[in-house]
Amino acid sequence: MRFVFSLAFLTFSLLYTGYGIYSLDLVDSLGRLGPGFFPTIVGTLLVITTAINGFGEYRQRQRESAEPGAHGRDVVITAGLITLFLALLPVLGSVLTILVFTGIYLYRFNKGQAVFNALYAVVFSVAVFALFEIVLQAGLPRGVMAPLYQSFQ
Amino acid sequence: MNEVLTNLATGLGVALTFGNLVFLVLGVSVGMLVGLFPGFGPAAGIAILIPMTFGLEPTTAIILLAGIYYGSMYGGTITSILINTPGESATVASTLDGYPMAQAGRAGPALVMQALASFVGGTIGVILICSFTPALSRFAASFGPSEYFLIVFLGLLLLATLMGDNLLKGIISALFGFAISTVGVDVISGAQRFTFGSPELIGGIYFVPVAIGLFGIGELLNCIYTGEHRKPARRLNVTFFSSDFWPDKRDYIISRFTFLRGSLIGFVAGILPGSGATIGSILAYSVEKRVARDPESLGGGDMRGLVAPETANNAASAGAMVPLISLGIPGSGATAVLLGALLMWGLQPGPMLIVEGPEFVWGLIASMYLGNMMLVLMSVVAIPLFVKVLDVPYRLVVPAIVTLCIVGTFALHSSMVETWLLIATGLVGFGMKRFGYSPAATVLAVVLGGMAENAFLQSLLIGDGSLRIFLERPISLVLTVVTVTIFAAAAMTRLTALRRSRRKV
Repeated sequence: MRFVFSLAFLTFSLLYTGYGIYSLDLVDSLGRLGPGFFPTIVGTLLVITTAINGFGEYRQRQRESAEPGAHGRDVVITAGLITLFLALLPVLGSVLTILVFTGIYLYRFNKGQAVFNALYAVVFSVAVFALFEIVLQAGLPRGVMAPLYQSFQ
Repeated sequence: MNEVLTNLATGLGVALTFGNLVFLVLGVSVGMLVGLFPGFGPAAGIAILIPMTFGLEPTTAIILLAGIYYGSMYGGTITSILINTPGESATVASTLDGYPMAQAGRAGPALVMQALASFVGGTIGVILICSFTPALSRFAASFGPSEYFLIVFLGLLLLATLMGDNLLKGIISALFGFAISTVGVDVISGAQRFTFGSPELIGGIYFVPVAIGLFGIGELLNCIYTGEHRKPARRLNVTFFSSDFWPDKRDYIISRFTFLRGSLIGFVAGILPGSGATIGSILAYSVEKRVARDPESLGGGDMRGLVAPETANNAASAGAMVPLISLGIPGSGATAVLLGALLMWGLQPGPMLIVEGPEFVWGLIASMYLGNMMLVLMSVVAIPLFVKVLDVPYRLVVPAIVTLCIVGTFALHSSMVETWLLIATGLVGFGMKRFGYSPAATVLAVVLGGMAENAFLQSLLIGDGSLRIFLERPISLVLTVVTVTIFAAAAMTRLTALRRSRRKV
């Protein structure tokens, strides 16, 4: 994974530098330093450093072993649930999305506490709604709940 | 001296309003809670709570956020002492003697002394801020673009060198932050850079989603990876307010000079860009061990071993405010987020801030003094309450952190692009944390990227395109020499370590 991560950084560096050189001018029409000057320096340094780093990680990749007691699967599940949170946010609105996310998360990681989990999910989603929507008036996504909001206004 | 007292009185006049005091108490309480959760540092706490300060006056908002910053130092030590798990990297050194004390049945004296040490460190730090900030501001008024660029560069280099395990990865982290900062409209030419035609990217990538992603989501995923969410609640049996809860006379006598040493070391470490509370606390501990007549007793539950890092990390938190206020240059991830918040409120930290906004600067400094007084009271009186928080399993905290991160980011500009960016930077932050990169250097570079680019281009413009400008001005020359020396020393150390490890293989 260490090597893959360093490879991702190298790929980003190449794309950043390549796109920067392709789309931005190093010098403007008056001969002054252009919008691409600083990004080109940053990009070039990024390519050099990430390439050296990637080479080092490649040489060490066989020595890499899985950490004992690591919970990689739980990280993937949590990251997936966070992505689901974002996908549902504009569709279901903030209250329902928080309720669904908290409910699923606790169902998966706080097993055997169904009533507590349900109560926690409901109380927490209402509390966040009250804080951001009523106190801070932040204007969170309403999604399918929009008609309900309008009937209250 | 009179000037300092007058300024402090001005600050107290600003800070001592009912509203500011309420938000100060709120800030330090949240800070203590933030410090209690492993891996959830002040930078994440401040970044997540920034959106909630939108309706507040700038001074009140910054008082609240600064309260979180130094409050977390107090909270982080409670877990270091009681469960050998530092809530914050700056309290790692406190486990060395704090935890053995708790195991020996002296948790009460350790908790009280850490509160007292934090108070002394924080207070000495605030007193020194009053003396240093105006002087440094006056000195910094003569700085040109080349000096500013070099200070930013030096700060990032120090951060990469001192905080990370690997210099190269630290440099990559900082460059990655610079790359992010180049997105948006170029200030000089007005050309769009890396926006891919998206109107949401024209204004650039805002630092808050990046900071919340790297520090909040990244740290959270890392805690899950290490199994924090699978651990049972830590029910602790600590007897509070009994006769053996308080430190005895010997504890005070043995550590009387440690208070002063730790505070001074911490403050100096805090002022240096990139150094900060973690280095300060470790350095203070090492010095204490070196000057002790019985160095072998440190590490086995000695009060000096707890007082030294505690005074140092709080004095360093105060010290870090000096370059932030007087130069506009933060030295750590948390102060970078604070700088971003200041800019968001339309306040431009730097030499002129103390002249143009004395009420704000001195109000903030006075609030730190008041905050320290509140924290020492809260640390002693409300320790049972904060210890109870440790009974809450981490898995129940996860949905709350995720929701606050996402909802808080969306609330900034009602932008789904920024919210997706939060997840992307969260995943990157997790990888950075796992594989030895420096998320703090990335955030610092994102916040300072625009300023660094402008200063660099202006320097080249003044120097007719020649890099000689970085050697011609005396202060620039000193900064260049220091930067090159640090880089060379770090590279040499790394090469020597590599050679040694190859010989062993």
